[in-house]
Amino acid sequence: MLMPKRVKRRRVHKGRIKGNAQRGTRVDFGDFGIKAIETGRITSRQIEAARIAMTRHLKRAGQVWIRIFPDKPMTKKPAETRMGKGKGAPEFWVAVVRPGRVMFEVGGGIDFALATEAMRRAQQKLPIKTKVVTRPDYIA
Amino acid sequence: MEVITLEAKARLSGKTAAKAARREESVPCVLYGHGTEPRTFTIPQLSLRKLTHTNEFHTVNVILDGVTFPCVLKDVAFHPVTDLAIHADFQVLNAKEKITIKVPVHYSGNAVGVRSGGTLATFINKVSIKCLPEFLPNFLNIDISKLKIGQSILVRTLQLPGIEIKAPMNQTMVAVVRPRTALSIEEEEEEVAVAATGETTDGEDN
Repeated sequence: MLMPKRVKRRRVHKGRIKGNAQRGTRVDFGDFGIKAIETGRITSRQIEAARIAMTRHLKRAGQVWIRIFPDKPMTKKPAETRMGKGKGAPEFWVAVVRPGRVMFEVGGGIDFALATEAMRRAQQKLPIKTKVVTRPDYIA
Repeated sequence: MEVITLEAKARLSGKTAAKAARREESVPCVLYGHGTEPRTFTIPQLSLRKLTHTNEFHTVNVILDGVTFPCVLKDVAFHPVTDLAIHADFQVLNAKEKITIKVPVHYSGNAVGVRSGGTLATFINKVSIKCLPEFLPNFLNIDISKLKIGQSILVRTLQLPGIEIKAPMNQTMVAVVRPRTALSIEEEEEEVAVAATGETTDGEDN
């Protein structure tokens, strides 16, 4: 699963997710992509599940690009623990996603029907609403 | 080259006028060029799609207040969520001045390597070129029919009369790569299964 090799801070604040994505909003590498249309936190497990869903459907054809990286640590307190005594231990990693962010791309000479079915399977693994986008200058 | 004609409507500069244009399903645009005063105008959202949603490069005749400006579409800003154009830049063409612009690349032919089981990997779909307006091409056509597995075409192989390539010369444009073997896919899936259960080889050793 994706996670940073090393980080400056083991625990970070929760933060708020505001506004639209300013970068990574266009399909740059492949021909098609999955674009977020709402805010959310995508865990490294969800990213991996979406990737596997796509690559298994594509078999050996095409290529998949992951355009988000889970670099935010999320902590969790152990079960049946009283409040206080400091922040919990880091448990998993998430990628903060804003509307407009292209999260995955598919390409490599595959046709639209195959790519959309692969992306539909990946969309089901994600916790936010997404849409399939195509490179504007893509001609089948 | 096909020239697209756009009927433009003059507008005031500034974000208030731009927002008003967007509410009317138009795209606020600006036109500029050497020796030309910048002019702001709007064009219908749908008419811009002929320039943005195509794999060919076109020059444009912008008709503004009865005056025709020969231009090229220099830049377009899209809304991050809706993907509608929110602003467009047009640059006026001067017959005696070179212009730098990105043009699409078309890969034609069926590569030998693909027929023998390789995968075609396309790395760039547009190339930046510098030339006089008369030499502006619709697209750059690259024949890939002779590419074998492991071979690639670099930007420096492009030889076009009257056109200067502005992209990095060592950049790969297209390549035929070896397909992922069934073995590597199985190994990858095993790794994924191990990672999902949280077991690592280090953990087992300890």
